[in-house]
Parts: sequence; C-alpha cells; structure tokens
Amino acid sequence: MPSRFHLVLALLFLAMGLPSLRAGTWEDANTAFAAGEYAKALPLYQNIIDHEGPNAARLFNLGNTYAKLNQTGPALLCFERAALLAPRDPDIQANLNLTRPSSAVPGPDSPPWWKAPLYWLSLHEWSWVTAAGVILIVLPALGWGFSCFPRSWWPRTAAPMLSTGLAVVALGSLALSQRRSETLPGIVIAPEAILRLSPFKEANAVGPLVPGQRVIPTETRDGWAYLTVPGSTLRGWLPQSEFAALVPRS
Amino acid sequence: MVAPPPPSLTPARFPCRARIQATAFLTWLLALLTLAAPLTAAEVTATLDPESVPAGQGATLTIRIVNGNVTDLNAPEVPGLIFQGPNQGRQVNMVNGVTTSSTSLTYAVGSMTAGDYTIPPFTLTVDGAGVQTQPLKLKVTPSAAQAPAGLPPGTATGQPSAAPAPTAGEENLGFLTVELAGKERKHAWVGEIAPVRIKAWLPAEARVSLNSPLQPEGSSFTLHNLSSQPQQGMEDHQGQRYLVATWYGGLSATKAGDYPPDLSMKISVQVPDRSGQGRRSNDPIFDRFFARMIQKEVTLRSKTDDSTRIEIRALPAEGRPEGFEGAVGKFTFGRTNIPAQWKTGEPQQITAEVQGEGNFKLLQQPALKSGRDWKTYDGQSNFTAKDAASFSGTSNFRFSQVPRQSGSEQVRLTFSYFDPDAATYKTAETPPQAIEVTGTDLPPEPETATPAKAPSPAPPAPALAPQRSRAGFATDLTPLIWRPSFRLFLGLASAAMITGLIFKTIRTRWRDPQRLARTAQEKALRSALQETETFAARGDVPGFFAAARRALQVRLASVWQTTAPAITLADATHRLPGDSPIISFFQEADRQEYSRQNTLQPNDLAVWRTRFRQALESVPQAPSSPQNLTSHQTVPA
Repeated sequence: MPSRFHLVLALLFLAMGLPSLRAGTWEDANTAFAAGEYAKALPLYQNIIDHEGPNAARLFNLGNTYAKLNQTGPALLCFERAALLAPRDPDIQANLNLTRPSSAVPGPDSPPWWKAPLYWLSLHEWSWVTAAGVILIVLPALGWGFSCFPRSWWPRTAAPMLSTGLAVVALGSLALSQRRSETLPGIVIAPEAILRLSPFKEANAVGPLVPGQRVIPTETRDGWAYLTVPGSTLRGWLPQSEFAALVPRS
Repeated sequence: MVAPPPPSLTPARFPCRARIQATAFLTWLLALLTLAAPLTAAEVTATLDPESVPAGQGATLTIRIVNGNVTDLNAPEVPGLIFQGPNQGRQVNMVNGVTTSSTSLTYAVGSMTAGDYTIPPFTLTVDGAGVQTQPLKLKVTPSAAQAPAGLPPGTATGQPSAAPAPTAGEENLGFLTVELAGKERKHAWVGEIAPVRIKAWLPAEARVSLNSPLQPEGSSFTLHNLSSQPQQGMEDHQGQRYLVATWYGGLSATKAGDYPPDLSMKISVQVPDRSGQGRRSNDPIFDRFFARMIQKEVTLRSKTDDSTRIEIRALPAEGRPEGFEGAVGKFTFGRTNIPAQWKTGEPQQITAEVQGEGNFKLLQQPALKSGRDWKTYDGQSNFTAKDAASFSGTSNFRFSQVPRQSGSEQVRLTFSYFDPDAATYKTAETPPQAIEVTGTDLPPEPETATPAKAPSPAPPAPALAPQRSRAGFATDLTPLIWRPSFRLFLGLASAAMITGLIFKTIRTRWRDPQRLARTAQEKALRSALQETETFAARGDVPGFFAAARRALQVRLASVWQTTAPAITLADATHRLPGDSPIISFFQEADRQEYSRQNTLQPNDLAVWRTRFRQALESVPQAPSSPQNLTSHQTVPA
C-alpha cells in the first residue's frame, strides 16, 4: 500500500513538474528579449502560446515583443487579449495606452460611472462569481428538498445563503450580459489594410484602416469579412487574414 | 511431322504491329495538332508608332490579335500619359485556302509632360484566356515644334499623311462629312472631346446597308460615344439630292495640328443599273422602279480638302495649375460633403459632385485645400451622363482623408480644368467650410523612400512595461461563461435545484394529514365493502348487516368529519331526513345485531343488498370525499 501511494505521489509531482521542464522555452524567450533579440524571442513566445495556451503574462510578453519590432497591429492584439484576461493589470493598461497613440488607434470608450464596477472583473472572473452564486442557491435548495438541514438552520444559514446567491447571480448575469459584445471585435493586424466595397482585391476602396484598429466582423465570404468600424461610418470588406478576432472562434 | 516454326518469328510479329499502330496514332495526333494549332493559337502583339513624340502630340499604339476574339481589354494607367481609344478594326485574309482573321485595337497615346514613359502591359481576354502584351516605351520630347525621331520627312509637325481621297467612282456612291456641332469656333483643344456631327451622303435612289461602324482612318482623332442610330433625311448638296444619315459623337485629339477628320465606313449600296443592260423603256421614271439593281461594296471616306480640316490647338503652358491632369471643358462643383468633426488618425469619407461638360475621364479627384497635414487616399468616381453623347453629366467623387493635426480651420475642395471657350485654365473651389479636428497630433509621415535612399532607421521603441518572468498557468481566451463545460455545470446546478424543489413538494404532499385521513377512510370503506360482499355471498345475514353498516359509517364519517364508530342510528336520524334509506338500513342493522332473531330469508338478503346500494348512493358528497375513489367499487346487488 505505501509503495502504491508513493507511486501516485511521484506521478503527481511529475505531472506538476512537466510545465517547469518546458518552461525552459519561456526562459529562452525572456533571455532573447532581454538581449534585444526580439526577432528570436517572437517565435519562442508564439510557440509557448500555441502549445500550452495563452494567459495574460504570455500575451503581455508577446505583445511587448511585437511592439519592439514596430508591429503595432499584432502588438495591440496581444495587449487587448491580455487585458481581456487581466483587466486590472496596470502594466497591460500602460502598454496598451503607450502603443495606441503611436498609431492613432482609438481604444474602447470608457463605461459610464454606474457601469464601471461591472468592468472591475474579467469575463472569466464574472463567470466564476456567477457560478459561486448558483452554488449558493443550489445548496439550500437541495438541503431544503432532501431535509439535509435541520429546521433551525433555515433562518440563520440557508436563507442568507439563498438571498446572497440570488444577489450574486443577478449581478454576475448583469455584468456578463452588459459585456457580452466585448469579445466580438477583431483587431486589424495588417500594416496597410484597405476596406473595400466588395469582397475582391480589385474592388473600389472604401477607406484605410489603421493597424490595431477595432473592427466588428458581421459576415464572412470566401476569405473576406464584412466589417463595421466602431465610432465611424466606415464599413466594407477586408481579407480575413488582415485582422484577427479578439477571441478566436474555435 | 511438321517442324515447329522458328522461335524467333512469333515474337517478331507483335513489335511490327505495335510499331504500325504507334505510327498511325502519332500520325493522327500530328494531324489533329496541325489542324488544331491555327484554331487555338492566338497571337497578340503591341506596337507603338512613333516611339518618340513631342509633348502635346500623340503616337499610335496598336494591339493586333491574330486568330482570336477579344472579350475584355484593360488599359493600364500611367500617371501623365493620356490614352484615347480604343478604335477597333477587323480584317479577314484568305491565302491558299488558309483563313486568318486579325483584330486591331488602336489607341492614341500622348502626354503633356516631356519624359520617358513606360507603358505597362495591356491585359486582354482572348478566347477566354488572359493575355498580356509586352511593355512599350514612349519618349515625349519637350517641344512640339521639334521633329520626333523616326518620323518620315514632312511629318515634323505630327501631321499624319492625308487619307487617300475617294476615287471618282466611289464618290458618286457617297461620302462622309464631319463638322463641329454646336460650336462657333472652328478649332478644338488637345484632350477636348469636341461634339461633332457626322453625315453620310448617299445616292437618293440607293438602298444602303452598313457593314462597319464609323471609324477613324488615322491616328489623329478618336471617336467617342457615337450615337447608335443615325437620323435619316434627304438633303441637297451641290445641286444633287442625297439620302443623308447623321450621327452625333465626340472627336478628340492628342496632337496639336491641323487635320482632316479622316473617318471611313464600309457600306453595301444597291443602285439602279445605268449601263443599259436590262433597260426596258425610254421612260426614266419607269426605269427607276423597274431597273435591275446592282450591289457594290463601298468604303465611304470623309472629304479631306482644306475646308474640312479641324484645327487642334495645344494647351498653353502658361498658367497651367499644379495638379492639372488634362480635363478640358466647363465644370462646377455640385453638392459636396465634408464632415465637420474629425479625429486625428481616423479616416472619413468626402463626397463631391462635379457637374459640367467636357472630358470627364481626365478630371482629377478634387483636393482638400487646408493649412494642415492630411493624408489623402485615392477614391472612386461614378459618371452619370446627361446626354446620349456623354458630353455633359455629373461625376461623383468619393475619397478618404485622414487628418494628422488637430485644430479648427476652414477648408475647401478644389480642382483645375481648361476652359476651351475662354482658352484659359480655371480652378473651381467650394465655399470654405469650418471643420474641427480633435485628438493627438500624429508624427509627420516619413517621405516615401526612393530606391536610392537608404532605409530610414526604425523609430525608437517606446518604453514598455517590463516582461513577465513567470509564465503562469494557461487559460483560454474564450470566457468561461461561453464554454460548454461551464454551461453544463450551470445546467446540472439548475437541475439539482429543481430536483430539490420537486422533492420538497412531493414530501409535503405526502405528509398531508387530510390526505392521510382520506386514504385511511378509503381503505376502511374498501374493506367494509369487500366484507359485505363476502357475507352476502355466504348468506350470513348478521355479518352482512354489520359490514354494510360499517361501510355506511365510514362514508358518513368522511362527510360529517367524525370517526366512523361514533355514528349511530341516533346521529343518522338527527342529521338525515326521516325517509332516508340510510336510517331504515341502520334500523334493520341494529335489529339484526341486537334482537338476535334472524327473521330474514336468504331471498330477502337480495332486497337488502339493493337497499344498501341505495343507502350508499344517498350519502351526501363531501368536498374532498373519497366518493370518487369508491364509486367504482362493486356494491353488492
């Protein structure tokens, strides 16, 4: 029995140690970045994100690398994605603001004061909050239904739990519904993107787009997307390769 | 015994046959390829003649397509070069039974600015396939008076050799005249589309069919927007009556000079035979109707004498505005729209309507006149003609501008053109309009690097927040709320909650005392009824009455909300009408129980079973009485 326990423990430690083994690539990328070899660091960061998945730190470092290489569009895409995961991170906000004016990319409008609390948390966090609220509702309901709680618990424990759960679910649902369009936009990544009247290269130009500019795709056809530009009357077709969705659709 | 054939003969037969078959196959293949070759191989060539012209004059660019049909032709755009055309001609030759057809597309090419120009390849669609011509080079020399190299003597001024004059015989069968329409002046300007009236003069008694459209013979002029249907009428010319067909169109030239309008058109003319053959009488009127008609294929040509020449004047070099691209005519601004609010770095669209008459093709996109830094993008324009010949109309321009500096100012739109009547350059401007540009000033755009220039150094990288040292745990960009697993969790939680509520409801209903009482009463009633039936079947009279009374007590107890054993004959007498079958049944049941005298015969039991059923049915119904539950019970009859 002790030997089986030790085997399980060893496997657990091995599984926990796997990321650290692969973290050598992360160190390599950071070292290359620190040495000013941004072109070398870029594929390393990208490789980590492609194989292990993104998070705010990885996207932040990749965005910094793009910014150092003067690739404003991809840099802003990374920072925007990082901000989506960590909205209260001051470094991400600072780099976003630093990169935006350099290419005259307007950021999203600030929410009104009464909506501002809904933007304190990320969409992930609001989802967890809502889930916690649901659990606070479900537990008393189950206890009440199956008589798991003594009757005396109801006023002291179950009722406050239920009311708190209802309030939390209401707040989470409000935040998620208010910010449901936050993941819709795409970010222009091509250095010279031209909106066109029709989905082909020879079509007349409607207007230029700036790298890093937010666009809303509404329709796709043959590798082209019909876009609207928030805060502008510009709308037209752009090759899908010239912008990237803020949240990639699986 | 027959000797076997030599082993070498048998295998040798098959290579021989195979060789013959292969040879035949190759012969057929070669024949097919030989036949197909002239059908498929289209040859496209482009030539420029001459290759050097003075500024203000033009060269002839000819694209010749042999054995092919052109369905689409895209002329390249070269800044500074003026293309006019194309004029299309088709020629069919038959030599030794081999027929070849060729199509010629002719452009007049020139420029107002001296320099060496490269004309990029023209893209054509020939028999469905894309074909490109080879690039050509055109040298434009500074002075119009200078004789371009390569031109034959006598053409130093750029004048083409005169078109061959129609022969006397052909002239009798018709001729063409060209005159400037609606203009008092007798000259036109380089680049101007001058409206012209073209007349075909044909014998009055002729029957004419047109075999080709009107087309210029030389490279001096280009015809534009010729009316499709000619007007027909009879006119006199030098004392002779003619059938006259009149077209309207535009004539433009890229070369200054004095040229005859050398147009031609192929027609078939049927005229009465004047030769004497077939003449039937001496009456000319009779002969006019009944004379034999002879048909002739004639090429009508325009008259080329001095009186028909049109003077083409070069546009003056003095006063030529910057950005002038060759528009000749009279133009004014129509409706324009410049947004009043701008933001630096954000493009917006400007629309401008330009009305007038003239060569709209050479009209430049209006420019935004401003004291600040703007970035301009090429836009698009749509021309709407107001007349059939497209001399006048409206061109709508749409283009995007990006402000690079903030502030308020007055801006206007402007473009330049040459007024042919006033013989001066003019600049049209819109009234000033106030605009406001907000936002942060953008750094000035770097100059477009020339190939000789070294690439400009990269701008200094901004001071970004430092890199993160810890990679952290991976997550997904898709918010949790939109992931299927999270939605499954929410669904399961909701299901659990609903299950709890359902359990609670079921439990509450299960423990309801009224429901429990009803169930007990129902059970007691069923038991009593079953006993009644059993006793009746046995013929046990006292047992039958005891069980039946118990059943009635249970039923009455549910109505009177009391216990069954507590209901006696006295209660029933007190609560029920005197003639109630229940009272009489209770009396008989008491008598049977207490008198100990069984006076009833088994036959009488059947009567009392009926009475018991009547008594049971006469029990009044309580609101939640188990009546419904027991009404289907078998009552002993």
